[in-house]
Amino acid sequence: MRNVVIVDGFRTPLCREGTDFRDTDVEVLGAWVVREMVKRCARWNLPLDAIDCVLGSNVATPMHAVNPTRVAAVTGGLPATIPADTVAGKNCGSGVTAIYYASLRIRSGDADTVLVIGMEAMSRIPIAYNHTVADLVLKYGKTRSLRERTAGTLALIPKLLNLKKYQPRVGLVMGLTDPLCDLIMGQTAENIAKDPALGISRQDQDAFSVRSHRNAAQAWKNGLFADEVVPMYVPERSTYVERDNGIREDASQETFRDVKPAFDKHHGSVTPANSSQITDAAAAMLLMEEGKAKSLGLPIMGYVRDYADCGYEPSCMGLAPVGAIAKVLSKTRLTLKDFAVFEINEAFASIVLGIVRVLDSPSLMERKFGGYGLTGRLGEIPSDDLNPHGGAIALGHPVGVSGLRLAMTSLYELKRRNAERALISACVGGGQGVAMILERR
Amino acid sequence: MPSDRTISPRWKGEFKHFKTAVLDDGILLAGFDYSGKSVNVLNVESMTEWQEIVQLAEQTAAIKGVALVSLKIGNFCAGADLEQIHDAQRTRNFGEIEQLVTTVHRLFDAMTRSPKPFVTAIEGACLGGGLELALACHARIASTHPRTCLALPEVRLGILPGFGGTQRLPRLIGLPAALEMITTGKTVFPRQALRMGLVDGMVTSVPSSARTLEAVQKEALVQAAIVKARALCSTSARHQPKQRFWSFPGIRTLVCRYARHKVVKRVRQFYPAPLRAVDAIQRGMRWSVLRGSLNIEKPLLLELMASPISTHLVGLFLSGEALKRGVTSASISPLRVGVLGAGLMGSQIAGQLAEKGCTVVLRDVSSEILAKAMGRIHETQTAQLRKRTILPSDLRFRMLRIAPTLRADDVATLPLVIEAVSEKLEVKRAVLAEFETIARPDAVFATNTSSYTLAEIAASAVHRERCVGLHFFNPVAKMQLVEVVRAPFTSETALARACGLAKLLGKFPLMVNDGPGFLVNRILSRYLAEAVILVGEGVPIRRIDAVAKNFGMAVDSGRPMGPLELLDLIGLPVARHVLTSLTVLGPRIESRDAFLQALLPEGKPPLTFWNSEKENPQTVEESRRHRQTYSEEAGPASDDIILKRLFLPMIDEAVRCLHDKIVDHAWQVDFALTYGIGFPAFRGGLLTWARQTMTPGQIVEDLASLAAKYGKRFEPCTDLSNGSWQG
Repeated sequence: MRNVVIVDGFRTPLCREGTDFRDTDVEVLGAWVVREMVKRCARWNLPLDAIDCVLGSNVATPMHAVNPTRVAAVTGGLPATIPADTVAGKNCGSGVTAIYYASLRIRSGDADTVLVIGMEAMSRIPIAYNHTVADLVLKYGKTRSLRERTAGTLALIPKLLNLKKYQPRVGLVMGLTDPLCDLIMGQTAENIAKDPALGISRQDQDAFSVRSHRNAAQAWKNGLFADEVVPMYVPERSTYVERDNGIREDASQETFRDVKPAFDKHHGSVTPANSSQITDAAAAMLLMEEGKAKSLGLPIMGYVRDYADCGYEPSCMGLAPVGAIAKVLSKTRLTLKDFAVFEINEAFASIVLGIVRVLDSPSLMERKFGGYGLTGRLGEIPSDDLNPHGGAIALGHPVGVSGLRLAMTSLYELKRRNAERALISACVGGGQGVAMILERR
Repeated sequence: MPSDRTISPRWKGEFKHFKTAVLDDGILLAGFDYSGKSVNVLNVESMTEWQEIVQLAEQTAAIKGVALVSLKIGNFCAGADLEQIHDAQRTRNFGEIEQLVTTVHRLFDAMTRSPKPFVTAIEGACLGGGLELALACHARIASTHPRTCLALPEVRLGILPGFGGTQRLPRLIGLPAALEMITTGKTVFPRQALRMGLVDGMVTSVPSSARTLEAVQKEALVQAAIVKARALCSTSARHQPKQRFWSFPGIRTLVCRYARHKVVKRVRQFYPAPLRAVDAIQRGMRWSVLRGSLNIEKPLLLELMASPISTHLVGLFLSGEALKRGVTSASISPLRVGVLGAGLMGSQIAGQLAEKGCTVVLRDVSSEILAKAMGRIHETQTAQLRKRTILPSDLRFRMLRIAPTLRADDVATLPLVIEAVSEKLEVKRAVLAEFETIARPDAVFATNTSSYTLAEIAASAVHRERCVGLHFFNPVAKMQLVEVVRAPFTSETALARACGLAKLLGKFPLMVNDGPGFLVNRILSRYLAEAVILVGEGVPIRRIDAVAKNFGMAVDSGRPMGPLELLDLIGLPVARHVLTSLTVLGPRIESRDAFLQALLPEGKPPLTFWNSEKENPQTVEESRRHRQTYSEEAGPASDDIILKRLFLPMIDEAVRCLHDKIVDHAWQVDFALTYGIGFPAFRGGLLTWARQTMTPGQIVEDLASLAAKYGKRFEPCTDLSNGSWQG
């Protein structure tokens, strides 16, 4: 079988919504990392047409570029002869799925080299008109005479101003709400936090967030992200961005205790402080067939191994990674002890805590996944090995990029620990989970 | 395909500059293909042939209409033959041109009156006479080809549209729009042309690469023109002057008065051509097109053409063409260029390169400077997007073509780098040394220095032959001149690549030999230094700038500017640096360091001469204090003296440059100063102006008397008196 290796991977700093990348369109963010990859190819003497295709991951696809990957690839300096497509449909799992699809292409022999990029500009998600207003706007566009135009204006203006009755729909909120259960993601996290069987308290969640922030801050301090993060120049704002800007150095239980719950204002425990941040970023990874990478003398960061995904109850989508992890383990006959590093996406603190608890408990496994044919405890994830340098709570969760970030962070950590195997997993809105095994041999 | 072979002996496409074929449905397809030139021009030869074709179409019953296309790629017609005009101006013999104009007026009138429709398919540049030819037709179809543009740029050459343009354009697109187009010579692109009614249709067309009549017939554009001609065949009413509203006497007078006001505001009274054009339009509206053309347009045209201003402008235009043609240039491939230093010049150069499709690696040592540079470039590009001169995709591509970097080795593989780091000799040398350690052996190092010589910078280089100067002027986007500096050691390939890059940027590459200040800065410094000395002597800032502005300095750029305003733009620290570096030329470069020092206080931002349109009181105060300390004499009496003190040293320095063989010809000096610092073009350039208004003896005498009164810096050089510079 053809092996798939990761030659190189890097990401831009993760910038909170409305900060440094707020004026940059998603395809431009993608083009930045493509341009950086083009520069690196020149350093390796790798001709650009050696890249067979570009696979992108972007969830909030902009209306003006429905295939942002293609735009990013060509604008970023790749020849227009290289095809490109975008994986968008798997929400937060898109990044992992894009890597998987790329590896499938390489394994099947259709391609030798695939550039995977992830990009997300959550600051740029538009706000949509209410239907009634939208209809009037469209109707106004078709007016011909002055009389029609005046009538159109008169009908439109009061409705445009009446934001309460004709509420514009915020794209970001729409995107984060699951139409299967009409719950916004934070409410599904509340469902897990409130589940008495799991027993996740507010303190647990806040403690986990504090740990995430502290680990991330520590990693930056020790320069652990130096390889992974490429500083970016932002022409739109005349700035130079070197660091992730969501990390709170002052994170502590005390400061987080006063944060109000966001999704259940009175009785909830999921707060902005123990949820992931809304973030803009981009990332790129170059995947190649093993033999080709070796013959070209390219560095090998690691191998893409098995992948699994599974579906779960949408209102508790946060637990779905358990199923995916169980599936990928049974497929490869590995146990959790075989992994040195775990990167589980911190969409919400309650979710990661829930996953860890279910994996470690036979009764919870039975109760939550009995119906899916899973029984028995899978094992404990040591705290030191889980998200060792912080996760989405501290760094941010640019949905289309997170999958690539998990893969990259875990590979760089494997290298530092001189260990062999890492497991990455993410929950997916709509009730799904993905898991992937990466190796460094 | 030609159906009727019996019409004429010259019928089987036997023209020299036109190819013709009669299509099945009686449309005569005429392909304009001026033989011996890369563009189509209108002169006696080509117009005689066109006349024959028009007559033929009139007399032949089988021909129902005519479609005119160009067989040149990217050019419909460049207008009248400029070289012919230039020859006439030189020999002062306008007989032939007068005859041509009369013939063309009658010919175009015959076309317009013809019962058979004439339709033009415009693809590529359609300028001057070419547009007037198109205006004489009954319909115009334009293609969206990127090089399609329409303009009547005659006023930029000091004349006015002379083939009926002043008469037909206002009738077609209305008085205000026509006045705007004719008095400014501005270019109109197809979309806009369609909106203003200048063309009747716009077609997205793919040009055929084979330029024969058979091949172009299949183009969407030509098809559209043929269809239009056929459609016009069946209607009787065509080419009706639509814009009757503007021809009411009162409205006409008002609009024209406003147009004159705008012209005077822009170019003062220096250029008569736009004003004459307004006259021609206003008076012509009372008559028919033919009478207006013959009785008003033609005499005004001939009058303008005979004037020295037009002679100068045409001469400068042809100089530019000669410059572009005269240098050997090599293209750079792959089209990747490094820019070292992301300061004010570096970022502008990088932006310009990206605009022209060049991949740029922009390197600096500070990420902050790089971020600011990228911000500035983005700013200028989004301004273009706002003006709708570019599309969002252009903006994205341009911005992404520039890769900012801190690493030196990112420029290692590039065939050419432009150095634009800070003006410090050791920094420049260090940058060159660093580049040499990593660069390809054949990579070219072009320096954008303004105060050091190429020899100084390349003194310790290993491969000196790769070093060349590429001196841009600020603002890079506007100034069309680039000095390409050649040192004795510079290789031909390096020069050719530098010239190629300048041409790619659409600039005029002026080859100059290495020397302090090269050509432009060396001459300019005398002017600026004298202006500073005048301020030091207590002459009001406003008065100095007014004298220069009344002379016409920078009037062509649309913003007249005196020397002190220019100094503020350059920045005093830079200016002082250049002046100091030029003192090697001799004691005549006096920078009055003491006064300049006072204007550049330690640790504070430098003083400016102007402060939001007012004289800066601080500078005036400094000048007063300076006079007290050094007890300088009071300022000169008259404007005439100020003028002489500003401009005579420039003539002296230009002659010295010629003597030092910085450039070989006086016309190069004239061209460089016109396009480099905004010496008024209507005066024909510095040396032409000197030659035509003064005798060498007079200049020497004036300089000598200035020297006696104001200091030795005015002492004339020996070459000035022998008149060899008059060339």
